[in-house]
Amino acid sequence: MRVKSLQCRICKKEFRAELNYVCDECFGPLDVIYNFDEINLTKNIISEREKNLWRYNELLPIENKKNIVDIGAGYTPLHKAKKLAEKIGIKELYIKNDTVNPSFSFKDRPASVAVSKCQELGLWAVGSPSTGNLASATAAHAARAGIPCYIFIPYDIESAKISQAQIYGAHIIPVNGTYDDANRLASYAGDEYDIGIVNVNVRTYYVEGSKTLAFEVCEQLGWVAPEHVIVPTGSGALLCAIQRGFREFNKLDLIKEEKIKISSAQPEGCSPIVDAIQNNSDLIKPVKKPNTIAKSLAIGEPGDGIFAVNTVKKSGGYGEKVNNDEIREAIRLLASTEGIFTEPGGAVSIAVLQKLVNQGKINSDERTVCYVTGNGLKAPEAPYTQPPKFSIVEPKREVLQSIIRR
Amino acid sequence: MTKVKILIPQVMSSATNGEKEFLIEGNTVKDIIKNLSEKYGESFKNKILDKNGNPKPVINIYINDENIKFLDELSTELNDKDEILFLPAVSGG
Repeated sequence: MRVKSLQCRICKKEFRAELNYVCDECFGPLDVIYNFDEINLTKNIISEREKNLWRYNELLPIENKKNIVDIGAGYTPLHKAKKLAEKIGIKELYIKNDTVNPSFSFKDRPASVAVSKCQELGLWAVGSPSTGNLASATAAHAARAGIPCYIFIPYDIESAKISQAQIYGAHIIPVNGTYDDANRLASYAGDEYDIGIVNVNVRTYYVEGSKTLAFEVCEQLGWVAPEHVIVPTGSGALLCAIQRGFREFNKLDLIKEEKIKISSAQPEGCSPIVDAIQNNSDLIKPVKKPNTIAKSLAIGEPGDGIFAVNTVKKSGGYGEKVNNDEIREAIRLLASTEGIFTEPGGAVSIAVLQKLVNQGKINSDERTVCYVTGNGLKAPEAPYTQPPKFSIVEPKREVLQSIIRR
Repeated sequence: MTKVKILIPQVMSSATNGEKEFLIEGNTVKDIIKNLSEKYGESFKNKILDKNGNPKPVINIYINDENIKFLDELSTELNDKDEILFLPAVSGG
């Protein structure tokens, strides 16, 4: 068995690796603990495998490979962003471009692991509450697995995200409320109807998929860790998973570095984690009505909030937030310098990078990675406050003289 | 005395001897937790509240689907037939 146990993050009590996500002693969240002594994973072994997230399968919690539900998530490009680095004023910048996953966001990683685990646990259906990206990722993997899928979304998320999730055949349940209302309803559905709600009752396994964002960056840098990573932050689960990924690679001697600065990037209008970091507080003050164009980060009651705060502090990183105009500018900047079109959630990391560099918190020679987590086509209206207007021309050669200037 | 309905998910029902839905009396959330602790033992309180007597960050408590963090927290006053839901603070991903 590759999974040794599930362990409470707070009181450290261990549990059998079943469908469980909360400690019965203190109600703390559970994490997967692996039998590291039995894991034989080397750079050579990994390098020879297929280019998807399952190349690290020894560090993912699926016991039987026949249960893996794979639509090709992971091993996305690590893009050396020379032009953007110049503009921002640093020397070595990389974009982890997760806009090109099968359903166009990083959520394909945890969804692939969670739906696979639901197969292994014999659950009859899956589902998720979602701000949009996880909806499509879960629905796409459920389609591949051939099982029903129930998606709970705030009714007012971007229409492109709703139609995308629906095309995979999921049951879409638009909720008259916020993400946190949708989350509560989904939690109830998981509890009462034995559905694998991927980021609720399968959460312990689900978050393991996000670790691969750390594994891949190290492998793609030549088995070296970055010095500083900037992570768009909603619930804090991704940020904590990336830290665990670096730690596990270090434990297996796949990287030497132990200290990697992890900074949290949030939008103004929903920044409970960054606020706690900046105020040096141990309490997360929830946001009742998130108000931001970065809807994929609009989680007012972040489940892993306090753990993300501690992770950032221990790493020596920072918390920073940006407003809607700064996010729009970052979308345009990334697209116009590097040819990568991200949704607002992904652009938050770019906007925060700019801010941290301006504040002198990132040295110009620090090897920095920005995680860009979702595709711009999921929120195509976001980059502009007014849609761009174009002049229509007649299809005559003469018009070109006034348009094209060499 | 106000009588309210308590809802406990399966995953937390070890704290209430497996009971998931039942009525209990109490005028505020604090009363409810005190009464639940009398019924199910001190361990109930210790699982829900931290050393300072505040709800643990890993727990959310809702009154009629409204998080008590947006109300008067433990001092929130209750009405007959209110539904009090305890949930692990698990959201997003």
